[in-house]
Amino acid sequence: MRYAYGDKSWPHDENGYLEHFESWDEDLAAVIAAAEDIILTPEHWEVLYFLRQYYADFEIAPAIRVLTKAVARRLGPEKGNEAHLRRLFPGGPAKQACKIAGLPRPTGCV
Amino acid sequence: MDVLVTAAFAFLLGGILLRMTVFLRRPQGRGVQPGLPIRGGRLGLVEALLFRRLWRDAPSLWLASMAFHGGLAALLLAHLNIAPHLLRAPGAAAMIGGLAWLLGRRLVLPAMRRISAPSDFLLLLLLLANALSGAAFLWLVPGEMSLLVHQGLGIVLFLVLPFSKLLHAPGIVLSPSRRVLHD
Amino acid sequence: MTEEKTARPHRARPESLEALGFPGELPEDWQQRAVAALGRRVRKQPDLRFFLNACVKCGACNDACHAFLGTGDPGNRPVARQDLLRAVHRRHFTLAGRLFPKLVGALDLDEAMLERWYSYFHQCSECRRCATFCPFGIDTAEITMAARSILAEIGLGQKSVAEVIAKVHRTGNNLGLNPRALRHTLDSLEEDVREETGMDIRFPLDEAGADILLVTPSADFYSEPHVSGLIGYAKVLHAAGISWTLSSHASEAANFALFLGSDEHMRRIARRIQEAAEELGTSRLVFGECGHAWRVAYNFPALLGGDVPRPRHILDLTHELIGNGIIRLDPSRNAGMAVTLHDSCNVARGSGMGVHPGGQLDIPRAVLAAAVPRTVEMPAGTTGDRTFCCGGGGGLLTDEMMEIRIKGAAPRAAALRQAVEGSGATHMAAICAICKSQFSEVLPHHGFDRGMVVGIMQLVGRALVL
Ligand code: SF4
Ligand code: SF4
Repeated sequence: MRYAYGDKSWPHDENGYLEHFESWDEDLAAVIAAAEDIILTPEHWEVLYFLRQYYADFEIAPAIRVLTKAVARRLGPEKGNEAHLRRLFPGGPAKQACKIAGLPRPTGCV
Repeated sequence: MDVLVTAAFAFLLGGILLRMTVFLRRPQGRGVQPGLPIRGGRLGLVEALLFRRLWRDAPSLWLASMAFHGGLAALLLAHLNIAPHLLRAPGAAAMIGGLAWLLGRRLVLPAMRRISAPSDFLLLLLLLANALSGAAFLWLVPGEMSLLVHQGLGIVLFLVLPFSKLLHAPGIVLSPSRRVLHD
Repeated sequence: MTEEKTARPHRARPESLEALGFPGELPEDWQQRAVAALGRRVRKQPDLRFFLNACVKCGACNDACHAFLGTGDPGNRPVARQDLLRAVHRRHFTLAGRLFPKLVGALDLDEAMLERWYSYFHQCSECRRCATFCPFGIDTAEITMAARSILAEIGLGQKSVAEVIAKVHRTGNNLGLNPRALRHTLDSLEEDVREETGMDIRFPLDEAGADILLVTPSADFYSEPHVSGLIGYAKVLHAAGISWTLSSHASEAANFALFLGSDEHMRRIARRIQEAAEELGTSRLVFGECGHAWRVAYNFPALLGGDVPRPRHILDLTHELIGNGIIRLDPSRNAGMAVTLHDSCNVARGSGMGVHPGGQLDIPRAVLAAAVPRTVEMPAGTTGDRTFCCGGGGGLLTDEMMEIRIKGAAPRAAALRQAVEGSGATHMAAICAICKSQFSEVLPHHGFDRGMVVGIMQLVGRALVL
């Protein structure tokens, strides 16, 4: 269970989430995104970088509202909502965006 | 032969008592209430015996089951010499009719065939054979031979029952989840 | 174990099972161990023995299960599911099964059987709907829990449930939310609510001496529609002037050990909540909208023993506050909504609420009716104590089970469609984090908008006159 790009490879879990948060890089994000049928745009990258920074700070993915507020600050208020995030990540900001950002899978009743 | 029948019957009673002890212990241990909420308060004996829910969910099954069990009860009483002339004919009719229906649906409905083990058919057949042989002795071919056949089948039934699922009877009142929640 | 085509969740990794005190791998002598574990379980739990013995194969439960109705797989019929455990029990613990296995449908626990156990006991959401159809009240959920606990004892656990139990022991909640992140999330919520209402409505954490310790599923801290429900709780408690707090030690209502059938872990997780209440000196435990958590909480007195009081449900409290006029709701703030209630299985069939029998069905309806202009019901036989599971309960709420989850939601979706087309329902309210997450994800596959899934306290929060 590994993602591969060039001569690099990254182990992932059964659901496709990266095993080691630190091992993430932009190439990997592109690989996972491609597997999820997403072409990464600058807006995607804003979300991904925020998720990574938050996880590095708090050791957990941000709540969706925290994420949308951050997106509003960075991309403008009209984009700071769940609907817009869902346009970027049709598989959901919680799961799909976390997966591409190299965060572990959110667990529990979510 | 009568002695054998009586002995087998005693065996049945003993078996029932032994298996009852399993259900008489009040369920404990898990702590998450085993009861199922049944609206309208405590599940009374009448409610328990009437299976109102089954009546609403599956009326034909309810009818067949009631006919069989009612007939069986009537015939038991008749065997104990309680109003035999009154009980015999309707009891036999109900029991045979009910059993035939139960057996028929088990044979014909694919879903029922799938969930049945051979013993599920055999037990119904055994009960049916008991009822039919009794009826034959009473009304069709009275005589020593018929009686022997009927008694023999009765002994088999008594011996088999304690090992069978037919001991679901105590569960009617003792089922842990049929006790209501607020008890 | 080899791959099979029926649905199955990912297997737990050795380290996460070992963290819970189970073997990490299938041991050599797994058969003997499993049979021994079954024997212990049956001895300890007379109701299980009854359930294994009393079935007459009448078929009354045949069409009761949403998983069967959705998949059409006869293996998902409740009695077929029970029979997987029953056959092994017969083989080893009954005379007839030892002597004439074929005759009475007794089977050995071989590898093929183990495969079927793993698959079918993980397609059961432990919702108990079938038990209401059985003339003897045979509860497949208990059988499933027993089977899963036996599987765990031979190193076969479900990944997500095992990880979540380990996480709640370690961090206090299923998400793995640490106190600092939790506080940060709550601060952000306070900011949102201030913006919305212009009022300082607090989300207190670890405040000793508060009257109420609120315990809520961690989903309430994470995503929609859950978070809006949490805002609803906070607004109601604020408006009622009740001092309350959350706890970082018990920042989770859910108790996934119930799903696993592990009494030991279930007690441990429950006890941690009770401890948090005692440490903070709160006089009362109140639970947020979480179905199976409420089932466990409702049974705290029996589960934890001693004089542990029964916690209260947030809806029960809200109902009382509305009743005695302490808070006021204005349904016109939810104008245009016609809401139908999805009874959560563990609330409807696993617990009570308030002081009257049937309160777990009546109180949510009463609160809902006070919060919205119009409520409608889905067809009889699909609600109340006959409610259909959302399809995601019992630990099935994982990505790899998506197909089963979509199919399992089909009976509920069909009932909802009738309420939408027949009575103009616009929304469906749920009072369980699993139901909310599951429906938000799978209803779109049945042609509904994910936004139609709401929580009752979310609607209360919007209708509340502050
Ligand atoms: S408990 Fe629910 S999911 Fe399990 S068999 Fe019964 S109806 Fe199906
Ligand atoms: S309804 Fe009860 S007795 Fe009948 S087949 Fe189902 S589990 Fe067995």
